[in-house]
Amino acid sequence: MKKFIITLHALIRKDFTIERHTREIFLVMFFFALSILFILNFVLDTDIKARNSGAAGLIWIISVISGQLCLNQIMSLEEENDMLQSLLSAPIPLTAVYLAKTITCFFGMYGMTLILFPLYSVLYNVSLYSANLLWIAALGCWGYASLGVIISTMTIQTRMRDILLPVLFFPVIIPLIVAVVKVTQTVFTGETLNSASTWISQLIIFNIIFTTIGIISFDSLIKD
Amino acid sequence: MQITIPKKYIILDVFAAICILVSFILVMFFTPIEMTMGYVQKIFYFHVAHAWIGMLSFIVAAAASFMYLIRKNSVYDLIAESAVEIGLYFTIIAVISGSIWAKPAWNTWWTWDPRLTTTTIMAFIYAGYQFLRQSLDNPDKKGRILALYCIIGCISVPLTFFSIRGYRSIHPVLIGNTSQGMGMTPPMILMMIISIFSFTVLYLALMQHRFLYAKIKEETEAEKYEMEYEDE
Amino acid sequence: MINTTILQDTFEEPVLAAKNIRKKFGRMQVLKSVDIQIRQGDCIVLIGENGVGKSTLIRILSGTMKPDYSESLIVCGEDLFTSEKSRNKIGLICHQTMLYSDLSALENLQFFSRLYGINHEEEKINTLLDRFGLSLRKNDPIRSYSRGMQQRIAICRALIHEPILLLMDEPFTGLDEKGTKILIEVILEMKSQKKAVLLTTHDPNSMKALATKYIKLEKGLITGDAE
Repeated sequence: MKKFIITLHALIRKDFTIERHTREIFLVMFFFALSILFILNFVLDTDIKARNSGAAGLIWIISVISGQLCLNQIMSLEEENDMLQSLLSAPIPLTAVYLAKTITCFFGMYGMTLILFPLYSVLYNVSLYSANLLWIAALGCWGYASLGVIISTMTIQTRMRDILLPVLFFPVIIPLIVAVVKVTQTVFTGETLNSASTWISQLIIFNIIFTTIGIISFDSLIKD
Repeated sequence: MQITIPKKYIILDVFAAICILVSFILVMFFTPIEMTMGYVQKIFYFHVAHAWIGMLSFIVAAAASFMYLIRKNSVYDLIAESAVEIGLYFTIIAVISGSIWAKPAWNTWWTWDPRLTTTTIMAFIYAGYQFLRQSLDNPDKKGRILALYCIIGCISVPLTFFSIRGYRSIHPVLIGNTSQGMGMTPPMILMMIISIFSFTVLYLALMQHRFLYAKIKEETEAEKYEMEYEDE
Repeated sequence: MINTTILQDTFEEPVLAAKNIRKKFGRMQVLKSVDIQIRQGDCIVLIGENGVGKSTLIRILSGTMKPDYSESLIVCGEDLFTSEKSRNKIGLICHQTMLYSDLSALENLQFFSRLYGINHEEEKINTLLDRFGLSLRKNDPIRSYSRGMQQRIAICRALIHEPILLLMDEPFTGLDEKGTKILIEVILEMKSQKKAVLLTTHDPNSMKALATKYIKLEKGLITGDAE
């Protein structure tokens, strides 16, 4: 167990060190999200009602779309120079690789989402502050990362690579997006979370299902 | 390569042809004409049958994928390949025919109804699967990756359905609670069953041919791969 | 007296013992039934035509590729596919450098030493880098290195956990003069320390001084002692 945590830590730290050197993943993703947020201005310009009611959906859609940049980058790191083979030859469980990738991607997504909420709030003059958002966003981002890493592991091994990720990923991530948007909306409208309990449980179930699939199946995805 | 279609395949082919022909004639000339919608309502018999095949095929593909992961027998991969391709066409036809039916029935081409939306998302997943199959090279890994995607899709689709089931729906409920249904008369129900049966037979007939095709294709591809490998 | 030492040698546990390995690609049976035994102090040179499956065999022996069937594949007394520990004993060098090109040499080696669970990593890394003449540029990203230097770090990477068995796929291709010299030194050292080396090469003649045995892979089978 201790060995597992050391491995996990080494793998995550390596991804963050690469990011510190290149700034190719999170920063690019963040600016992509920012530019969509600005483009929205031309749509939401005069429609104050849409700004309010659409906030949850819009913020999550921006996250979902920019998140795929992170997923693509994070996995193609391992494809370069045959790194997957290198990891396979090391005395580490492949589950650690999956979890490390999911955690790295989660941090990227989570950080971005936490910046997007107040930013949207400032730019569009909507009040969106709630402590509950912290864990709701965490659940949403973890689900996104856990399934996203599986799908991007599939797509980096294809000839089409990056192009294929959204085509394969978006149709299967829909239930998560629906649930997380619903819960976020409930928070925004100021209702109690009890009214969204089915959505929350769905969110949790989704997280459990896809993390489990990832843990079980990841080695069969990268082993030859 | 000499391609021969086994004789026994013809039995099912002929049976499927008869079934489809009979149900077509029955739908055209012997079913009652619905009062409000008129002739267009008859699309409904085919629409439901197609949607059913689309769903059945999805389950067949997921089951075959699951078996492939356990048994590692390429036959299951070929079954999944066949089921996905046929399922994709049937699902697309179901969505389009539903849309044609919806215009006179609900006075709109499209509605964000759970069933309609889920079926369309299923078609997206089918399509994604096809893209994935086209662009994977390594024959051993290909099967595993595809099988896993198929299973993920199969888990995701019902989740999607349940997550949007709460939305207001105007789609008729066929099975179960019929109070808000379309009030089908007994001949209509009978016709529906005949139609679903005929299309299932057609599905089986198509599957056997698609499977044969997949098998032949796999063999030729393996030969091609061998040659490439020797060149390396 | 002489007899007893020979007896001891033959009773020694082989570093790697593989029996009846089979691998298919599509329908092509690349490896039909491969048996290999590598003893301590061996330097086995694997030769064969291009595309005959040498790389595949190396990958299987390193545990990164699963064979379709294998009667046994034992590394230092442990099964390669069930025991993660056995991987600690194998060093692998392939065509690709297997290094993160955005990380520096030091960071790459630190990362791998953590994966292999090595203590006192700094010391070991610095000695290795010194030996391969890379200490001066250890903080630059690998991307900026020349091909020969990248190869040298790849060798460092394979040696960081002090493997007992070194598997190398065309190690001399693309290696500069300095690297070649050091690699030959490393192989000699491995031999003298009762460790083992298995390598493939295009040019079997250049290996005459080092090789203890030549084996040839042909039509999916190993034919021993080929020239």
